[in-house]
Amino acid sequence: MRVKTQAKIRTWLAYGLGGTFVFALVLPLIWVVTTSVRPLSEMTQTPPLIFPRSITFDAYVDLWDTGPFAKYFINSVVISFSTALIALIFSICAAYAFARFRFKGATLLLMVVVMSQMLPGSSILIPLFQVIRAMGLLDTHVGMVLIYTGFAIPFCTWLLNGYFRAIPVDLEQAALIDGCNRLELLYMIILPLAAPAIVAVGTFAFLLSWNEFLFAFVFTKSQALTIPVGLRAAFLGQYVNKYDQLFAASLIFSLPPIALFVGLQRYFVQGLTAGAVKE
Amino acid sequence: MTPYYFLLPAMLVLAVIILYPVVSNLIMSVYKVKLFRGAGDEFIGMTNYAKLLGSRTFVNSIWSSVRFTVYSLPVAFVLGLGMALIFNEIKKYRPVFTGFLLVPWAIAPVVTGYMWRWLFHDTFGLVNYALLSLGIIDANIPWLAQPDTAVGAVVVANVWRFMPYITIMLLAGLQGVSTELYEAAHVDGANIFERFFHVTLPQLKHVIGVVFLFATIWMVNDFALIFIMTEGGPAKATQVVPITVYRIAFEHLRLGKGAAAALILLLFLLSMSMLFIRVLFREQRKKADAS
Repeated sequence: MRVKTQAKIRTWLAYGLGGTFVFALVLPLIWVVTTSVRPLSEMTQTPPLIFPRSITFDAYVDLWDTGPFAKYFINSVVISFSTALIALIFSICAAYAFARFRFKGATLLLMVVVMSQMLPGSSILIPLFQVIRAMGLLDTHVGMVLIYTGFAIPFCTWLLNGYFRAIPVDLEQAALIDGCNRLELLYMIILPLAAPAIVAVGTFAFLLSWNEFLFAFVFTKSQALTIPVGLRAAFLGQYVNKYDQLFAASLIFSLPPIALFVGLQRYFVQGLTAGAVKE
Repeated sequence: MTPYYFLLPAMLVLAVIILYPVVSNLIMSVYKVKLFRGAGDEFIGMTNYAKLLGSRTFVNSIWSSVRFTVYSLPVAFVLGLGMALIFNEIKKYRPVFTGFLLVPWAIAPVVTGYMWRWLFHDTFGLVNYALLSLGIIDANIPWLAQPDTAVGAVVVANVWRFMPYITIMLLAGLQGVSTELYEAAHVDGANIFERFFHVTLPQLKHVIGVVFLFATIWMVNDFALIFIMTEGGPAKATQVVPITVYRIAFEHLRLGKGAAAALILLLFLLSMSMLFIRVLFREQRKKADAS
């Protein structure tokens, strides 16, 4: 009886403490949400009002037409989706080669893939700037997609390679005898079986380019400017800081990552902890 | 021939975006490179490195990076571990809790930066308001305008961002902690702290190693969060190495010197990774030998 009560208290304590922790963690975000729905006059009041006296969604409407935000939004969408698609196609092909063929240089190339995964971005920032400039791709969508694809490929290839290896070869051998070529094989047999991994990898590539700041900051000026860099230009001026719109835009911008992370929580946690936690 | 066709597109992109720049960075670091090439670059040997190590700005930025990481990591780790232990007791609805937990990790560092900048705002910020109301301070503190408090502010933001990652990893690690050992310790009369330090913690060693390695690499590499919050100021107190690399190359237009600074950063991270990996593998080998 005593043990049972003890266990019960322990559980309640865990829920209480866990809830408090989570609340403290999201409190800053709640503050930002309330900032985005209050009129500017209330925002710049001292001392600040904890609960807004009046709620307005003006910021969510105005942010689309008062500044260049709409353009940055489209840039972000175009660049991130293109990156996800291209990185996915290239990585699927490369991972298939690593998983199913034995060829000269396989180990070396795989090592290159693994090593580039750990490379810090700032260590190639300067030469990459020259590469992109020499190709005439500074401040272009193509240039940014190329860069992000390069950053996404190592992790995508590595993860897919592991996944493909776990798929039994028998199926493919039967199809090969039936006269399928390798591409058909990949498309009809491997892809359907590897769907979860492909979703995970596509999400990774999308988010990588969606959230990226440093390279967008250095390599774009106006044409290919994405949201992370554009927030300042759109809402923080020399004279007026439109905090309501800044945070409304930030929240809209944060919705895709939050939805993807929380929605794909199970895969994400699996991927993150794979290898780090031994079974 | 087929495998090479499959590999070609990916390897071509990697060659242009990763491999060539890595080699090029190495070469650039021993040249005097101008952003707009005129007469070509001049070979100057180790001069860039010598200049960097003699420059106050660069050495200070190393210290800024060290401060930023060394303050953030233990705080994030202790809080993350605490949270993981609590969440481990939560069986029902755990995905709801971990779902919330993922939010700081999901949103872009830029957004985190603007958010904390607003929270630490000297007149309209929630932090000052809360501290004033609680009577902890008598007057608003201009958090981001003073060197010491600015360091504190970026550390707080950084902890907020990384704690969830640490919790998720440790929580996964806790799933693998053997319950038999735990029960045995219980029967032997070990109290909750003894059980934690002698049973739980040793079994988490591997995960903790991985967490420290990755968190360190990510923190040392951070650019966006700090840049949005302080731009490296005030008085360069939060100017970490990546920001210095950017400034040397794209504000002072010294590409060669910037490349040398980037390489020093890369070498530091590489040697750290090696060290961690060696330590982790040695542990594993010891265990393999023992069993």
